[in-house]
Amino acid sequence: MTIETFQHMPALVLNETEEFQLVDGSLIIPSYDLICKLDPYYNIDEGRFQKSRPVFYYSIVDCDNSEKDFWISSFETTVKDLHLALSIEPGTHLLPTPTQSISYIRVDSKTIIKGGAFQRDWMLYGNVWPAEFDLNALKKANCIFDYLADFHSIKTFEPLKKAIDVLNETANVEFAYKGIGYDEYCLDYKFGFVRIVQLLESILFADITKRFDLGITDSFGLYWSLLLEPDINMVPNTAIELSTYYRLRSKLIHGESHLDFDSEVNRNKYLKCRFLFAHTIKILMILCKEKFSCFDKKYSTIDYLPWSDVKYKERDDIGKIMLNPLRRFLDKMLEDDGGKYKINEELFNEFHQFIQQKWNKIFS
Amino acid sequence: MEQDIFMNVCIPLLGVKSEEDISGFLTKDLEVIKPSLEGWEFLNQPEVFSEQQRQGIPMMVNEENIPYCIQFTLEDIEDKSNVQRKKELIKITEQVVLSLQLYKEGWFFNPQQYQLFFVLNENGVFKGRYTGPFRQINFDQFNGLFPKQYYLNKNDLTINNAMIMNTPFANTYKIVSDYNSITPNSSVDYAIKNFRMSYNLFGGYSHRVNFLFTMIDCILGDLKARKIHKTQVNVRFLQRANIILSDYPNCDDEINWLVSDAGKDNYKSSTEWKLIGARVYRNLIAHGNAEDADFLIHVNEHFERIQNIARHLLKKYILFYFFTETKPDQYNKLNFSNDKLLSEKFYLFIEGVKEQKIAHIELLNNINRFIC
Repeated sequence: MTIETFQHMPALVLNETEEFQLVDGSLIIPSYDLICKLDPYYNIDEGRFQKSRPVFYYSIVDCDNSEKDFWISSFETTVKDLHLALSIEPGTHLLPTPTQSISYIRVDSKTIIKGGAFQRDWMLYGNVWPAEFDLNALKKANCIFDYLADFHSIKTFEPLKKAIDVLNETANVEFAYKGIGYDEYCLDYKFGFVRIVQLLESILFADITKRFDLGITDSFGLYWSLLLEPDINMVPNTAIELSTYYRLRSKLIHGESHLDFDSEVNRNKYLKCRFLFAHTIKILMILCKEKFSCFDKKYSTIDYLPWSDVKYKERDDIGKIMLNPLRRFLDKMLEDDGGKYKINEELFNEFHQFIQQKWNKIFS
Repeated sequence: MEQDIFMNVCIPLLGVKSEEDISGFLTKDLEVIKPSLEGWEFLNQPEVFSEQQRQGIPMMVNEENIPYCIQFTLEDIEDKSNVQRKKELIKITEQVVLSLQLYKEGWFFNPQQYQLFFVLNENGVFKGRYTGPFRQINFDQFNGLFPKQYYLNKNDLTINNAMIMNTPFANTYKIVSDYNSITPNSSVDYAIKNFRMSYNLFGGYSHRVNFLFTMIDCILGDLKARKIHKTQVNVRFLQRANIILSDYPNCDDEINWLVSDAGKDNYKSSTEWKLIGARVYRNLIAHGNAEDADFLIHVNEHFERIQNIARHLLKKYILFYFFTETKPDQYNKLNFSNDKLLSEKFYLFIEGVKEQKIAHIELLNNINRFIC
């Protein structure tokens, strides 16, 4: 038996091409005739359809009847992976969940139609917010898609799981779409930005283990830069730059009335932060999938925590907080140098070389 | 003689129910109606019906399933452009939706994600709609996801809008429209955003509750906060919540429950379910056990319990900001330094009430009186 699956990808726009071959299936802009065949009882307006140029993920498989359910459920998983790949690379698009739109599953000559909450609206009436992909962007997303294919442990690494949840949550239409009437400003990057910074704060370091007299804003910048900045000499500067995101988040949630949070400058910051967040997710994916050896070393929290300063009641909390191997590792990367921090160069370089090496492999 | 140009706007409230057929006014200008079948078909576009008929869905073609709508009129719009008219329409819609959400418990689908209808009497009669991403939603497909639905009753409405003075809804509507009349504050906006997200349809209970906890943190600071922004915290969360929510029904019990982690070790035992403190949900969500939280919040019917506390708190935060912005005499007596941000001021306000400062107590009384 042949199973053909077509999943509409809402908001996705293909530039420079009508079709793109993925490692598994392809992205296509189906012809009007094909959709009419798949959906014969629905009166599809040809003009609207041609204008909309909806993009579908298409796959085909030959299998036995007994494998039918398996392949149909595999298709759903694949669509999830593709959505994640397109959300991470380049990382700035707010892509609605594909299953909220329409899908067609053709088994031999019969077609099953699955309509999500959008029904056919996005397929026919175009995208409220277009997420444009050129060939270069598609190639990169395809590399991520490929990387996700046998990534069964993705949910086992808590920081990564949480980060993906926030990426999806902030792109979810109910969160991202501010409501009718906002036109070009209809998307909510601002409060998505706050959610992203809050998540990063919770996975990168523990405020309760305040170190080197650094405030929370500076700690945020420093710890995040340890992950993102591959040049050790640039870490302090990058840390200063990244801490501005935390500062902006603080002003947003604590209520600075006189700051224009919707200004062009701030909108660009929200976008850039989302881009860097997506980049962080890619790093976390590498750390999780490639089993970075440093994560296996058992660092004692007592080695570097000002343990005697910690109230007895809070020790249990710290124990839990330090269970996160990412925090433990980043903490270990910073050593005490007479009350100031010094980056453990060996560990830093080992880490970034590891990331770079795997990175090159993914995108080769 | 020149004809007055006006625009009749209709906001459909998918999910709102009533024990009996109702119609009347929520405020002087906001009328609750249930369109007739012909009226509903007139407002909608034919493709919605053909799609539903094709799928064999009886939903909107069945009179019983036509949603309650709120209708209002935009007047004096002759000199306004279509963009200005739309902006005004959206602003009022937002006010109406948030006011309904703040007025009482119960869930309905955000009409701004669905669609809004209008009829304009310019150059004949022109009907139109502003559509959202879920305008073709087959609502019945998702009824397993709904929390407790929103009920409008006769008591909420008045037949004669000329008689409306200070009904509970009109009061809530005033809180929201007053806030919209001044410079918005990002902290209040963020709190509102999180509260509104607790009405999302597809996130499940854990997501909804997570938004509520985020909102509570935004307003009151975290349970273990030592600082709110740059202000040292001396009053613990429990006290802060007790002071600001002192007029909330069963305040002590409810706040204790909100911060309680009772049942954290044995929440899987069905005999202990009912005893779970709200903090357990938060921790389950934070530590990746959202599915457990979804289940427990649902079986314990605890979603509304948390949302009700959040609702009361949000009203106070909005009013606090409004008073501090518009009542300089009262505000100056609070002696806040100018560099403090809103959530710091709110904390200091609570601290002042704890310290029995007269100006702070007076302001709290004013806020409470307004909510009553």
